[in-house]
Amino acid sequence: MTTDLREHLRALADSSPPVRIPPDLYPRARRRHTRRVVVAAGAATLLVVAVGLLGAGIGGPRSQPYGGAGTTRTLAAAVGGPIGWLALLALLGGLAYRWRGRSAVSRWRRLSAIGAVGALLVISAPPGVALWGEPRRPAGLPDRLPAADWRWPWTAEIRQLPPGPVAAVFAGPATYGNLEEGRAVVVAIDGDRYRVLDTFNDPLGEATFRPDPVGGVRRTAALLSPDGRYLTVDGGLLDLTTGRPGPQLPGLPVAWSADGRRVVTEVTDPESGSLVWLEVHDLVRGHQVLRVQVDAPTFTVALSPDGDRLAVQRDGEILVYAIGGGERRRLTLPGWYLAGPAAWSPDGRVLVVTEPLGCDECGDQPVPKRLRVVDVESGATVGEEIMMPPGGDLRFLGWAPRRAVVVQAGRAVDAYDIGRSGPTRLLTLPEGVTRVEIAASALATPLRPAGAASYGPPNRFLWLVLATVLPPLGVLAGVAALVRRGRRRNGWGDGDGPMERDVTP
Amino acid sequence: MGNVSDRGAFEDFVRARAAALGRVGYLLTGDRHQAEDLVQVALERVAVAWPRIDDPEAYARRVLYTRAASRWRALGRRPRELLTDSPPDRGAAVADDPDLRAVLEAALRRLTPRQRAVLVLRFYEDRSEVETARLLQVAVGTVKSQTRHALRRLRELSPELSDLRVDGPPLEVPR
Repeated sequence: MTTDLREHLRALADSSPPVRIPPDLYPRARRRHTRRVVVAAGAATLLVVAVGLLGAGIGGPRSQPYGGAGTTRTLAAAVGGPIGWLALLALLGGLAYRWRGRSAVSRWRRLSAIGAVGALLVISAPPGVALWGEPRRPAGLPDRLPAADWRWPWTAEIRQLPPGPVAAVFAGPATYGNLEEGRAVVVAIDGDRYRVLDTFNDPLGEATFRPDPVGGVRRTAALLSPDGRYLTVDGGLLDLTTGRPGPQLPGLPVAWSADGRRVVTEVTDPESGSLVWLEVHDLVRGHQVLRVQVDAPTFTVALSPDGDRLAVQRDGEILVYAIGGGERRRLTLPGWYLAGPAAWSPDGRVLVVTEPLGCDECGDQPVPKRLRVVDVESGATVGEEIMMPPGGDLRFLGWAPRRAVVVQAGRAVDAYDIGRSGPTRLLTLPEGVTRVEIAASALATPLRPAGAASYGPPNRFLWLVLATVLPPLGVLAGVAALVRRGRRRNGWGDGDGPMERDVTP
Repeated sequence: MGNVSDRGAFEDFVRARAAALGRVGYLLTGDRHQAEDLVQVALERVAVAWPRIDDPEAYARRVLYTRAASRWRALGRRPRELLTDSPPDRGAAVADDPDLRAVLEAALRRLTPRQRAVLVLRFYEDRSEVETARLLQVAVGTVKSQTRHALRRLRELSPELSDLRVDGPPLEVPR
């Protein structure tokens, strides 16, 4: 005997139990739909705002990433830049067409999910890939720095997307953020491209104390190469054009020649950690050109602009070594010290020296100092002028054109022309920024007007936040879905009595 | 005013058609609770789209079928299969036999959601292959193959259904 499928299906359907439909299904469904639309619109708005904020600074000439092969650069433009957004829009358009037969809710839900994932991918293009087409301008120090310290946790790390040679690196409580210490910020020399350097210790704020052979201590500040390409981080050079370590040098770099050809390193005894040698390395030739044994308390060192002379600060005197051979000179300046690794003037004729002033009540505060410019040959003061900026506490940063000495006094970065009393304000540091280092090449060129800043792809902090927030949200959504399903199965009742009616076939 | 009249019209529609939709839902899911869930979801969609749809029943049925055949639903709905070393007992094949209906019901439950949807559309709702393909948003070839696979599967699962007939002549089901 045969069995007719159609008959049995109908008999089966007729025997099915009645379904229960909640009496207020219509208003509830519409309310829920409205709520979902509002939430989706809010989320989309937030996404657009976030993307807009992250992408601020789009416009102007497009830049290419520093470092990486040509293929990487090609991918850069395709994946992370405007082409990536166009590809995403094309994908969404194609899917909308493909899914046109679906219900509107289903269609938009799918497109939204794909759009959100795609947007994240485009925003977070892989490391080394250009993202926004960042601004590029003539080289120089920007005349202002952004003050929005909330940006720094979200700004790309140097190693995520190297900025190229930088004009300046700055740090302070404003850049550290509330959760982290040791974050410095760099700005590219040829455009307002900002990146952060996340390290355990702030390279600008932390001094390295090291015993020397006669029991003294030395401090070594962060060092930026004259062209802004290398930054001393954790005892080595970080190449800011690639985000990778720079040339391996024996010892800690402590001074550069202005032409970037030579660098001075400190070599310490591996057992005692005390300073034993000062070495000058020629990076072009790739070998050491001078080695000086440290046999007395030694402080700051400075290389002449051409790298042919080395000035070494000893207690009460400055020794000047001729690297190419020649007599060692001695400048006796009791109480005065070389003002910094860039103390040598661009013309090689004068040095900047500083005198710490006595301060019994300063405690841990910076000791007030004053500056003087002295002749390299005679040690005589040039211009008979002792510069004493208001406030007293100052740091020598380098040389501006026309023999102007650039110093940081508090938040002000000023240029003092030798022989003139009034300074010229170059830059005012944002609130909460206490230290700045400026590349010699940036100081040697005129200031450039700061434009719209770009901050690169989101810092890894974003992914940390997403990884922290999304899983609990997913669990909550799952629980909510289960609860909703359970309530629907029970007729959406809230315990106030039957809320459903049976509809019998 | 419009909302009140819309709600009234919707509730009239629910009163008139919920039972029929429930029967389809039951065939598609094989479970009272899942059928209720499915029908309520479909009616929610109808309620949201009510002011702008001309044929609410067609809309509801479409939601029913697409939701039932959804791969995401399939992940959670498909019952686990128990492997045995012997075929199930073969009972009497009587057209109006309630036992046979129970066998068919159990076998239907073990089909994939999409196969169930194809069988319901083709043999319960008497839809053509083209209509079935359009409703499920698949190719006509898929409908044909799914129908073939579904019938073969029914036969494999329950030997009582080996002489299953569709549209008069016995269906050629490859072994």
